[in-house]
Amino acid sequence: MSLLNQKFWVFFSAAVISVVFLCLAGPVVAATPFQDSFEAYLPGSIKGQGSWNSEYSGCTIQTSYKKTGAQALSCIGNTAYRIGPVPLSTGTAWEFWVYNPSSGDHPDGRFKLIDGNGTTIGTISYISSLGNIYATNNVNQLMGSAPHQSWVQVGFRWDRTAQTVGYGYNGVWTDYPAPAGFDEDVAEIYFLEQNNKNIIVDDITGASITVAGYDPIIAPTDPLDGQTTIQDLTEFNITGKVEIPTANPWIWHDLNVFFDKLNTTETYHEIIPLPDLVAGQDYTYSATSTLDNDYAYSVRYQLAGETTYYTTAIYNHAVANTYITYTAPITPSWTIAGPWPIPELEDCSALTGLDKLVCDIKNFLLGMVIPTQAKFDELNNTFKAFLNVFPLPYLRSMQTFITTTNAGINESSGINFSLFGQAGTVDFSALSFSVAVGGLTVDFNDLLKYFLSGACFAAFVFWALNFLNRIF
Amino acid sequence: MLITILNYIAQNILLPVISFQIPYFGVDELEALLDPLSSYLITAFSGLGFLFPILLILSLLLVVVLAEFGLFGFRIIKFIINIFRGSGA
Repeated sequence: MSLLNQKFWVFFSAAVISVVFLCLAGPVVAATPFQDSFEAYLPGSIKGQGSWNSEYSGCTIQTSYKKTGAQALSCIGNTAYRIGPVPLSTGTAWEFWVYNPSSGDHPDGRFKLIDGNGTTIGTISYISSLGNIYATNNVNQLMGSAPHQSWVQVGFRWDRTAQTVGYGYNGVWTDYPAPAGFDEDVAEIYFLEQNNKNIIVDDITGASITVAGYDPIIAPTDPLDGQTTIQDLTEFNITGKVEIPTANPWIWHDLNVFFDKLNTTETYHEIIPLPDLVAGQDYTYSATSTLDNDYAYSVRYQLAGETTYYTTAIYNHAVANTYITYTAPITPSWTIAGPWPIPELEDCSALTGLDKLVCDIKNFLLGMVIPTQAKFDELNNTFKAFLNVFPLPYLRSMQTFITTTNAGINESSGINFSLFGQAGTVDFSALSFSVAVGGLTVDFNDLLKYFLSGACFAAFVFWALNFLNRIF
Repeated sequence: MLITILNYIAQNILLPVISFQIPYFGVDELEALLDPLSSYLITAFSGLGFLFPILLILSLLLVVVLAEFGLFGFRIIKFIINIFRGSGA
């Protein structure tokens, strides 16, 4: 090994060892839906404590009855308490415990899941006088009994993918089709006691619903699936959610968003890194992109990941006809041209006799070699999938490393320092004077840069010759 | 027909076989190394960027690293093949 190579490996090893000790990055943690044990609040009215609000003061923190811990929420009278706004993710389930402390009174409780505008998404009716708990989904559906002085766990769950609202009773869930016309992005829980009796609520737990199935779910919110979004394309948002169902066995690294410039063969590609999603996980992505306002674009999505054998996994989001454009389209429909026009077969229907036979044979022979547009598009997408296989992701990381480093380096002429408590600046601006070289006027610091660039190139050529010598 | 075969080979033979990343040294591991290195270089060269062609130096350094790793990998493969050929390492 030459002296140059020895120095290089020593430098590289030192650099690698030094950065290994610096790279202690924490894992990405998904947001947890709202939970409350009521333990953190002061006894008395819950109004204004935590995220809670109320119309009156009939709901209090008390210590007499509790499922766990030292205290719980008690509601008496025609009062209502709520939390929120809590964003409804694709799948969210809330459960809470309710209790009727009296052996004789019959409190009628209503527990609702409502959106931010007050529209009811689901209602659970706790009717002690009938001894039952009902899911009020247009009509009362019996969930189970409501015994006196006994804790019962009820709950709501909202599955945005399946568009269902579920009702839970002691851990058993029943799903019904979700009502239409509510704001899917905001939800609150609402407790209402209706006949001036005491009803206890404790231990609200929230959890994300894991979506069953195999294929990953890409749910864009901007640009919306199957729609034409008209907006300024010089800077626009790409937002949405990716979910990996429980039966999907792979690891998903990136969301690729392709913008096909309509009526051209050009495609722009935005890579949104994902936090290595696996089965049962979801991720809300958000990125900003830039395109030319003079064109319209077709949008498509692709997930890139790897199998457990470190081979490539690709999933293409199937929804088509998603467009973005700066101005409204002039023509009613767009055509997406392939990289080359596929020649069409001759129409033989008008021909007869020998002419038709020759035409059919010609079409048959041509049909064996001429690809259809769909087949070609499929091949085109397959080739694009190769952008995500080794070593291209590594090269992209290297490219990002160089551009990030170069963009981050401050090229000002001063270096600030502090020595023995005294701050100072090493100022190189004295080197920034103009000099005339070969009839050209350049800054001296630029001249120095050119000289060092030449020196770097010379060293590189020296290394390259040495490298080639080692190969052959 | 031909394009169908080509597509089939690419989707079912080439793509599943070609690795997305190197086992035990994935893109995330590489980025976990490069991110702090980038911060380190930004700190080290800020101020010197006034005089030094940093982008050129980094680019050439990258080429050197890739080429040396490539040659290293090639020689490992050659070494293993030579062992099996019986001609000595």
